[in-house]
This record gives sequence, C-alpha cells and structure tokens, in this order.
Amino acid sequence: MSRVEIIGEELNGLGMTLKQIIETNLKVPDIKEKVGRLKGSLVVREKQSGISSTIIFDEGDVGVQNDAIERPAAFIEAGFLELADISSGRLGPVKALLAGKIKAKGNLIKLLKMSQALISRG
Amino acid sequence: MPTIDDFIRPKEWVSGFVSDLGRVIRKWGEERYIPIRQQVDEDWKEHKIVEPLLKEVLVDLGINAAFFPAEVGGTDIPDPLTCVTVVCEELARIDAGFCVAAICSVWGMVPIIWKPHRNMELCEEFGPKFCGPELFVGCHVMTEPDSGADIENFGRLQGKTIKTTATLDGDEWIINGHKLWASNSGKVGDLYTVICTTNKGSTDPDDFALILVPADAKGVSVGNPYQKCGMSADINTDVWFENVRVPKRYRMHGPGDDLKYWREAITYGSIGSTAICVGVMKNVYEIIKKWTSERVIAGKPLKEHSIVADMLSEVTILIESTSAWMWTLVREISRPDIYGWDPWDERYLLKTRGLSLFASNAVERACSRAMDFMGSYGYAREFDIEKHYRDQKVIGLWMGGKTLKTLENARYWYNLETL
Amino acid sequence: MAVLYPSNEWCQEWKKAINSNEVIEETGKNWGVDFNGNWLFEVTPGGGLDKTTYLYLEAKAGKCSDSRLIDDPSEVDAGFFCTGSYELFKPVVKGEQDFIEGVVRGVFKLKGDMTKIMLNARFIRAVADSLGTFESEFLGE
Repeated sequence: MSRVEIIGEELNGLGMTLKQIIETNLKVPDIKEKVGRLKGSLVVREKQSGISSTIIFDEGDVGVQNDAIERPAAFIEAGFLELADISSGRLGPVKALLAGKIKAKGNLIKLLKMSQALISRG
Repeated sequence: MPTIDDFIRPKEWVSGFVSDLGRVIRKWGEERYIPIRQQVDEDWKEHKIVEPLLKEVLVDLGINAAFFPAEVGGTDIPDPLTCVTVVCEELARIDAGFCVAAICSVWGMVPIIWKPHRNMELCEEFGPKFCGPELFVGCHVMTEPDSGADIENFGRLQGKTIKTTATLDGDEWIINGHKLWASNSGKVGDLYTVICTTNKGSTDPDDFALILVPADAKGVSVGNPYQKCGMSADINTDVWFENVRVPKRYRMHGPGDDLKYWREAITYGSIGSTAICVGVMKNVYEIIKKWTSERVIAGKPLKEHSIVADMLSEVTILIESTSAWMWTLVREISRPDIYGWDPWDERYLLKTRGLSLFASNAVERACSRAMDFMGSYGYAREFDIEKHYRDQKVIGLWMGGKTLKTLENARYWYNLETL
Repeated sequence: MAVLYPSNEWCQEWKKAINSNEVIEETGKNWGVDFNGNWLFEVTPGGGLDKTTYLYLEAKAGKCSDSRLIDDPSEVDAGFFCTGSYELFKPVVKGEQDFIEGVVRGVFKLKGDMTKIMLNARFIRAVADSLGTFESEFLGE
C-alpha cells in the first residue's frame, strides 16, 4: 500500500500536496509500518488561505478529503512555509508547537504519530 | 549551565517521540498548571480547577489513549514503560498529585491493554471511552479497611486477606466489598479495576481476580474525599460494592493470569512511583537553584556558601542516582529478549521495590534539605517546596509502605523464607 | 517601461528579475540540482487572453537560464506543470495575490514532485514574489 485514496470530490491544492507527500513517504518501509498501525483523523489547516484538508488513517488505508471533518482526532494549523518546513523535516512538529509556529488541538500524542506520515525522510 | 535536562535520561533508550512528548507535557504544565499550582490544595474536595486540567492531559494530550490499541482508537505507543516513566517525571515536576491522578487512570488497565496480553474484547468495549473526546477515568482499587498493605504483600499472604469477593452467578459476577484510598475514587473514576477474590480466605493464586466494574453500576457507592497532607489533585475516598453485578467477561484474564498481570502492574507502579520522585526532585532542584543564586547573604549568593553548596550537591546526587537506577530497570524490564525475564516475573516486582524505596527516601531527603536551607521561605507556600514536601510523603507509604518495600527487596536479594 | 504579460519580452524581464534577486539565489541553491526543476505554465483563456498560452521557465541552482513562450508544450521537458486561467494569473503577476495560496486553494493546478516544492517552499515564494518587482501590462485592461 503506497496509494492514498481521494475521498469525495477533487482535492484542493492542500489536499493534493498532502496526498502526494504521504504517498512518497509510504514508500519508506519504516514510515509505512508506522502508518499501518494508525487509526484516526488529522485535519490540516493552512493558515493564510484558511483551506483545510482531512487525512484519515485506518490501519494502513489512508484517505484525504477536502475541508475539516467534525471532531477529528487531531488538528494542526500552520502557514504554508511552516507546513513545508515540517514536511521537509527541517522543523520538528514539537519544536514548531513549542515555538508557537503551529497551533494544534486534539490528541497530541496521536498528532505526533500521524505527523510522521507527513515528514519526508529524503 | 546544566538544567534538569542534564540529569540522566539515556538518549539511546528513550525514543525521540517519547522525548518530544515529555517536552509537550512540560510546555503544557508551564502554561496551564504552574500558574494555578498553589490553588490546588484548596480544590481538594471539589476539583473545580483540577478536573478540566485532567481532561486536558488525559484527552487532549492523549495520555489515556496512548496505551490502548490502535484498533479501538488508541495510539499504541511502542515503548510504553519508557513513555510512562517520562510522563510521570514531567507531570510530577508540575504536581505529584496531579501526576498520580493522570497516570492511575490507565494503571489499572495495564493487564488488558499492555502487549502481549491484551484482552481485545475488553479493549473494544472500554477503549473507545478512554480514547474518546470526553473525560473517562480509570481507578485501580486495592486497599481494604482490614488488611491495609496485605493485598500488595501477595508473595507471603497469597491473597488470603482480600475481603472483597466475586461470586459467579450464571453469566455475571456479583461483587461485594469495601475499598479505600484508590486514586481517582469518589466521583472521579468511571471504571474500577477491582482486586477481589473468588474464594474468601483462599491462598490459591487462581482465586485472585481482577474485575472491571463501571462506577455507575448498581450497588456501587462512594464516600467523601479524604482531606490529606498533600496530593490534593488526586481524590481518594471509600468505595463500597454491594451486590454489584457485572458481566462474566469483565474479569480481565481469569485464574492465574489475573495475578500474573497484576504483578506486572505493581512493578510498573514502583517504576511510576520512582519517576514521580524524580520529577519532584527535579523541580526542587530548579527552585533551590534559582533561590540560592538570587539570594545574597554576606555579600555573595547563597549557593557560594560552602555549607549550602554541600546541600545543593546532595540533592543532585539523589536525582542522578535515582534516575540511573530507574532507567536501568526500565531498560531491563522493557527488553526481555536481552534480560530473560518477562515483565510480570515476580523477581521484577521485588527488585523494583528496592528502587521505589530508595526513590521515596531520596525525594523526602531532597525536599527536607531544600527546606533546611531555604528556611522559612521553604516552609512558606510561595516557593512550592512545602507543597512538594507534603505531596511526596505518601509515595513512601503507598503500595505497601516502606516496610513491605524493604521486606520485598530483602526477600529478593537474600531469599528470605519467613518474611 | 511596462511589458505585456504574456510575451517573450515579459519572460525576459522575469528572467532578469530572478537572476538579480539574492533571496532567490540563496533559497534556490538546491533547486533543480538533482531533479528537473523546470516549469511549464499553462495560461488558459479568460480575462482578455483568447488562446491557451505556454510559458517555459528553466530554473536551476537559484538561477534562471531560459524563460520564453512556447507553442507546443511537448517541445520542452519540465518537471513542474502549473495551469490556471489568465484572469487568475493576473493578480499573481501584479503581486496582489500569493501564488502559493493559489496553489493551496486549488486555483492553480500544480503537477510535479510536491516534496520538492515543500523542501524549497521559500524559493517558490521568492520566485513568485519577483513577479511584482517589474512593471507588467495586461490584456483586457
């Protein structure tokens, strides 16, 4: 499994970006194994545009859909550059959180685990 | 200049993820808990301040869900004992009582949520509640009015003093008994892990039972919170079970295995107790470091006086030595592939008793020494030393007290046959 | 003097703007070094433009080596393909609208290795920002 399903209508740019990043990361065995154990939803909101996407993890299956679902397991809001820094591995999500560069809500342990699917090892 | 992060915490044994979690808890504590820390003692009965904060830690930070299987909405943390140790250290640095309340929510669930002995049927039933968006708190009820620490002294008394009974009636257990002192008892707990016997007076390990009882089950009643020396963020009350009926499947594992995995929970309780002591001592270190650096006596900071430096040194040695012993045992227990014993092996239960005894003595000494050289400032509420001083005392008293810890440690090392 | 967007003159102005920009040079030093970092922009009709137009931008190591209009998209090899209507590209070229925000919103469809985009997000933003550093004029205005 290294494909990420599109749930619902055509994805917005944020969703497409996240989808492609996760698909790339799932090619890494270590990440694939970790994602394979995850169950829950993560809403990612880009701060400037206010655009949101939801990533659904279901024990190996991953889906992305537009907009925020209600009551996700975790929520993260950041500007595109911060999201880019996190996904490229330059900025750790915890460091970003502690520095106030991102906002997070929900189950933070789950957020930290789910964010591993978004962080490139390359 | 060294900080609390320079005390022993082996980086090669603690994953980046768990370290990150510790940092998140520390940040949360600085922002959310430290500002109200001195008000918690007045909140001992109502928990108007504490309960929302408990929700933040158990639900929002995800401590409740951390150890449950992913299939039921949990996070399935891969190195749970390491995680517990860091969580306890960080939470206890903020408030030992709050730490106890938080970690005891999942402590009693260890036998069914910890690998490799998960009871998936019960995880599926209760996991979504622990891992859901609402506060759901676990409570591990052990102590009884007549026997005190005897229940924890299973190695000698074999459960014969347990008065709380479980009688099978068709597909249901009927529970009767009276428990004391459990963390998160009273109106806090939503689900009790009840230690009971299926045959009163028996010393057969098969009769030892761990049975889950929802707090809202008919026949469960609770008393008022005890007013205590410290640990006000943890509510303790009497709990009565009067002909309480629960499904047969609520027995965690069954004859023999209940005791086996409860022993494991006790071992983790000793590790957790130690981590709480380390967390408290680290905060004591922070407080006295600041105090003795800023307080000027006879033209120089207090820490520059040799008699004070001697005491300051002692506190750091207590932290370092406790941390080193604790992390070594955490590592040992977490790697049965290397060390050869299963985590539920009775030898670990006995060995970790020595550790928790040492830690409770260390924290008591550290708080006392800090108060010695802070004088009346240490005794005053303002600097939080007196809070730690009051909170820590019970760590040496719980889970059998210092006497049982001493005996069990000696039992392991000297193969005692009568004690 | 203002140059018409889109035109080859405009492409040359953009190239100059990129190559004289220190932020682009610094943030883009890894761009296109071990991957195809060239861009093809497909500008679809609307807002005064009556036929689909293709802009090609060759970018590597923080510098632009070629920028021009092309007739046939298959004549170039671009690692990144971006499409959007002229009407929507206009505010970006004017510096009134953030290109990245447009991508996030899905106003512009972007194909290519998004991990490279994320790794070089500051470079992408700087290149987009360079559009507003020279004067452009537009069809339909």
